[in-house]
Amino acid sequence: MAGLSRRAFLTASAGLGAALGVPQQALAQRLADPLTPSAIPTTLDQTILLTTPKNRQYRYLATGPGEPYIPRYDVLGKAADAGRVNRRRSLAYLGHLSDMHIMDAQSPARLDIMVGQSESLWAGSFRPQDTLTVNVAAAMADAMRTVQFSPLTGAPMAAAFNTGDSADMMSSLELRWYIDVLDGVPITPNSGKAGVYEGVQVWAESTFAYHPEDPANDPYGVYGFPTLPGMLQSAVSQTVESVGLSMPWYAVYGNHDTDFLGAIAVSDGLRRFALGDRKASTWQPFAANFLGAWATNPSPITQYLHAVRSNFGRQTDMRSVTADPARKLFESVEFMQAHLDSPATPGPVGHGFTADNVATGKTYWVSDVSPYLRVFGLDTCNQVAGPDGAVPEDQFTWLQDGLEQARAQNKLAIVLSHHNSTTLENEAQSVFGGQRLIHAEEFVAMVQEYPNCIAWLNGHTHINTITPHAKAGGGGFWEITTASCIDFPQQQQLLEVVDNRDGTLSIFTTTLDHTSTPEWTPADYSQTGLASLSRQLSANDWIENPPMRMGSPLDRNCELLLPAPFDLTTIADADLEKAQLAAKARLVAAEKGSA
Amino acid sequence: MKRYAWLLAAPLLVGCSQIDGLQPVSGVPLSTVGIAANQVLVAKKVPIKTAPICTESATEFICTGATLKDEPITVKVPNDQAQVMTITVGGKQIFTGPVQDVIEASGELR
Repeated sequence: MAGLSRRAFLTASAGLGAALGVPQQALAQRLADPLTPSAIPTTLDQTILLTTPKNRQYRYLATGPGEPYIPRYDVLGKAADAGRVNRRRSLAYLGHLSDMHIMDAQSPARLDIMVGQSESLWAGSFRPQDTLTVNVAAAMADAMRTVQFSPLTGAPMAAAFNTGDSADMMSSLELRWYIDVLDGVPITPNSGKAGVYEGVQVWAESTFAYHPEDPANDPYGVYGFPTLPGMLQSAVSQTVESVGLSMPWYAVYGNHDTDFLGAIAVSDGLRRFALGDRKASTWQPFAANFLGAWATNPSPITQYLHAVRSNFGRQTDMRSVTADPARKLFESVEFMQAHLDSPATPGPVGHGFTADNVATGKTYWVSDVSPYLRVFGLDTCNQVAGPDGAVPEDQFTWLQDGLEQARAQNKLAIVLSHHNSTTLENEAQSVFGGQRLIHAEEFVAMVQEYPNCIAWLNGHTHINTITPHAKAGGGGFWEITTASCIDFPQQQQLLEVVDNRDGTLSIFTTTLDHTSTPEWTPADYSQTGLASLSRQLSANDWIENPPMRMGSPLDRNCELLLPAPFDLTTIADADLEKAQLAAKARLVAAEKGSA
Repeated sequence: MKRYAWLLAAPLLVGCSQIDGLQPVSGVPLSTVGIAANQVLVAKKVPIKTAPICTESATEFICTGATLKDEPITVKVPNDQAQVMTITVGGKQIFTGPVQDVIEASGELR
């Protein structure tokens, strides 16, 4: 098939230059460069691995060998034609972020204390790298921007998707920080008193926590975690300058963006707690008051509020901290509004959410990220209770109708959600009733009926996982779950959909490390140094089984084959080239904007 | 992931229908077995057509897949603390060893 004519190219580049405010001649020169695979190293070239085997003590990280793509035939049902390598063309190059867990580690509402009660039950309530989440997110945005041209084909990234759990604990600060990191807005990741860390990592009685200034008396010190004088001060006082993403990005809700701690409906009492000036330093006063009040009061919610309001302030293991109104817990609709309160670039304004979403409270959306690719952003979170999710019937029907329409229009489709097929069984319903909740088996079966839906991207479990959903009789789709920015390996993902020009499609998945160095240099508390330190600390978080979260090689750098859902020759080379020019022009304009 | 959060929420909502929804994040033990099995299969260069799909019962994890020659891949792991995994391909045992040892080794530079 023929590509763009010279006349069509000049017309397209002139139009793009005018639309994006880039000098037309300079843009035309950049756009005329042929697409060549990016030479920037990725996990195809080098990986990050733990150094010291099985000594059950603090371990360091080092650069390991790269991982080439492994073809997977589970959905195609047979080996693929080797000649596809020389025929393929890129249909869409995409980024996938998830589970950033941006955290205000000093918030009084943070229940980091509970890890002192049980590490296994409360894993995730405290991590040694809690103060460094913004640094990691900025390094990840940098990584995504660094590989904005495909390592496989050189295609420009058309869009990036964030599949939720962006704000760890529903704090308005966390929400703003996450959006600002991806939009390239500077942040000082601190709350309360300016330039001073107030929290469990400096309180002696909080023996469950890692005390980087002097860990000798906590379990982390015994394990071999390093002494890091000045680290907390650097973390809360330095401004993080994020380059931001250069491509349009889209977001969906995660359970942490919906429920307190990802599992509990937010009450007025919790909102007041977040804004207060008292923070527990051990779990015992919290648990004693919490459970004691529950035992003597008929209303669970009233009991909890009673505990918060009446008892916490008088406990000896409560510390005074600097209150901060910016810690306000956000409402569901405010999550969407915050996405609308973002700059036009990298865009789109709303990042998938629209003014209609805010007006109606509808928390899901659809968008065409290229002329050939339609993306459906679902909200699988349960506002009643529970960390896991389900698909409400209204969204199920809406998606079904949308996939039907996309099929009729010969558009490829991708579904985004926070929850994955192993975590879609939440049955929680309001006492006042609610619509039917659809779970994994029924959801997968429905999506399988639409061969144009080639992938379901999600997160939640913080584990790199690729799951085939082959349909009996042929076809199906791929479910791609990416790891998180908070737990090791702190990886996200690149995806590229290619037409093999033989009746098959491939989705190439490439895990993405953030741009900080694998080896942390002692006393490097620079912006990227703290990101590197965070990864090292996360690799030693014994509660989380760090190497498991890397997934297997079949969950990382793979070529996922599936039958082409329609005659892909209907996508003309010239039209494809035009769409790629538009994506490339956006990236060039973003370079200009960040210069 | 918040597998801990049910503990806080449970007292809040005991007696409510919402309690049915309060569970830890699902699927991690099952995922761990699948990851370890795939790790071994890739390391041993087994030509996979269908990677093992795992199910869990009270007594064991069982995963089944197929090679490109349609030989069955079977993974069995007792649901106990030791979690010793046995993998057979085409009826021939190719691996036996603890799941966590495979996981640990996969993350280490060797």
